[in-house]
Amino acid sequence: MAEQTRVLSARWGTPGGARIDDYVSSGGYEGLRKARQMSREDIIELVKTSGLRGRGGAGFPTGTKWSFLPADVRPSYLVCNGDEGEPGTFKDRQLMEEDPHQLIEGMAICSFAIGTTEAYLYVRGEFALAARTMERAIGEAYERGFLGRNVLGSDWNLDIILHRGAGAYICGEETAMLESIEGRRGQPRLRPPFPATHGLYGNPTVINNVETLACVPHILVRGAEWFRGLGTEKSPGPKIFSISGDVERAGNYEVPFGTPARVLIEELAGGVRGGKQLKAFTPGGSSSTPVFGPDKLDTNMDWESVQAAGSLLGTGAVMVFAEDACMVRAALRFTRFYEHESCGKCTPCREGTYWLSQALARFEAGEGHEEDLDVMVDAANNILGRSFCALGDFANAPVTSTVKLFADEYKAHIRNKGCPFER
Amino acid sequence: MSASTPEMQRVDERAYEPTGRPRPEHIAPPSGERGPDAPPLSEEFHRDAKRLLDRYPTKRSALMSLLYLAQAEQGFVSRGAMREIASMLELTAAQVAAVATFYTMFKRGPAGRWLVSVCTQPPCYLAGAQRVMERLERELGVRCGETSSDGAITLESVECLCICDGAPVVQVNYEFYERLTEDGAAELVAKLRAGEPPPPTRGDVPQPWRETHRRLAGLDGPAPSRASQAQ
Repeated sequence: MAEQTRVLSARWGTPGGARIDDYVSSGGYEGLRKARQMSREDIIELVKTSGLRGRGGAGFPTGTKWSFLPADVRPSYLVCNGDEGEPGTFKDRQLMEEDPHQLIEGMAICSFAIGTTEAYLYVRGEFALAARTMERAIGEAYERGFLGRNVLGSDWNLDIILHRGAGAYICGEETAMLESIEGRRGQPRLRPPFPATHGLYGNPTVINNVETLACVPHILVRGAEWFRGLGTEKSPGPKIFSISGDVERAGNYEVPFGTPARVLIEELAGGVRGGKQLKAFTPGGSSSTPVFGPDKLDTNMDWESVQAAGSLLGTGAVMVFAEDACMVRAALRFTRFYEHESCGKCTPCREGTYWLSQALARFEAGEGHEEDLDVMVDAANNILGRSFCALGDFANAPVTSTVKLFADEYKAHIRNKGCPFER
Repeated sequence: MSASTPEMQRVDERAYEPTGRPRPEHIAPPSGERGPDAPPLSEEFHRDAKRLLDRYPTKRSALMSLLYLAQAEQGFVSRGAMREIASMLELTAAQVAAVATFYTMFKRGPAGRWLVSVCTQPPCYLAGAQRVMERLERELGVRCGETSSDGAITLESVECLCICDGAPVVQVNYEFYERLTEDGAAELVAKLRAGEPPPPTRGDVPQPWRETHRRLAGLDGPAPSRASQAQ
């Protein structure tokens, strides 16, 4: 029976684990103390050596991102992306709700390394509990001198400002997030210039995901070698996989990168619910990640292996569909999501997602035509690469991969004049 | 308020929605110009707004917080509130309306005291979210996107709430109710009608509309020291 490797989730579920006393007494803020004894360059070098890569979906090397900031332009900013909204993903919410100080410490270390005195934490608006928990924890950190004027008795000051979203998935896109903090519609910016030089308020900005920053204190305390000892060579460290859908025990499971999907689904999550057969699963949420059939269960869950198998690791959200789940309906729900969340700036995304969801709804209502399958794939491929940000691209995979893998199911909807599934 | 918006009645959209239900994009008319109005914002609003403005390096960054605060006071973001906030932040009313109409948590018409949000994404639909939604509609006597006739409860469907291990998930004023059954949904409605929301599956008991939105405005959050600028 597989065991979890609990690093980021080690304090989850313990009563009082969210309060500062428990955090400090279990070794918390040691990473920040250690960082304060180091030079900024050494911290960035350490994070680079650890191989830490961004957990928000793209997997960009974190230390390299930090090193892009010009040293002589001030002020610079850190923005932590807590706008989790990817269907099937629920790790960042739990990281904020159940161990807020781990995140604050990670933000503080990063802020020190990049030489900023002002960090923003963008929390999704609907995460009322996570935002309250973070507010309380930030207040505690100010009281104890981990934030505010003269952090830990040094000459360095740091403020963390919590900014709530208000219901827009697109604000998880980094430049849309900057727009949102600046008090505008969350519409992505054209790049270049990149946020590293022209970010928040036009100044150099690092934007990191919650889970990424939560790794940082552990790297400071236990070292880069320890971090590299988990996971694979190119995808080192622990990773929280969010497993949901038709499994016995849905939940967040923390394991080293490279753990096979079979271990996650069959062992940790207890297999498909009710002893049913597996029909499909998403390796990394719905965005840009073609769904896998049961033949891909032995794929190792790291960036390289999942990509080699024909999909993307994304945020590590594993949604499991049993034999009696309707994949047309799944594709429709995903596409409705992108249609709803498209910011409307770029025509291919705004109109493409609309027409895709119309076509899918027609199938689900039993009024689809076989030629629509080609039309949908054509429409989806015409969104790809034709918009400012990746949201339009995200909408492609749920449609094209289900049409490819489950064409028979689409046709069954036509023959049956409606959805052939009970659920 | 049980009228649906012009967008919701687009025929092509309704015809192919599998459940025959229009999607609730907006709880009020979408345009900042056509929305309902309300009395001017109070002195208390302006006092609280000052605190929120001080958090940011630019005034405009406080806009979303101020919209939450206006919504706490008036129940929704009125045209008048948009104009007042615009003049506070030295923006045009159109710039404020652009933001107020972009984010779904800003409502531009009166909503119920309790906002019931049902997740519709795959992990929840696999767990029976559709049946929960239908039961809620029956209990409330409204369709998704509408407010019950007593004005107490507004029902909406939302995208993934990112708590998929608790599917099917419903939020009441942004507090989580996980693994909700159809009967649980009926019970939830009865308790909300009585003004006594049951404890959620995590976090605090939902607060009424005004308190919820004052919290969302960030009034409880710590104020930054801004030590660097002071030096």
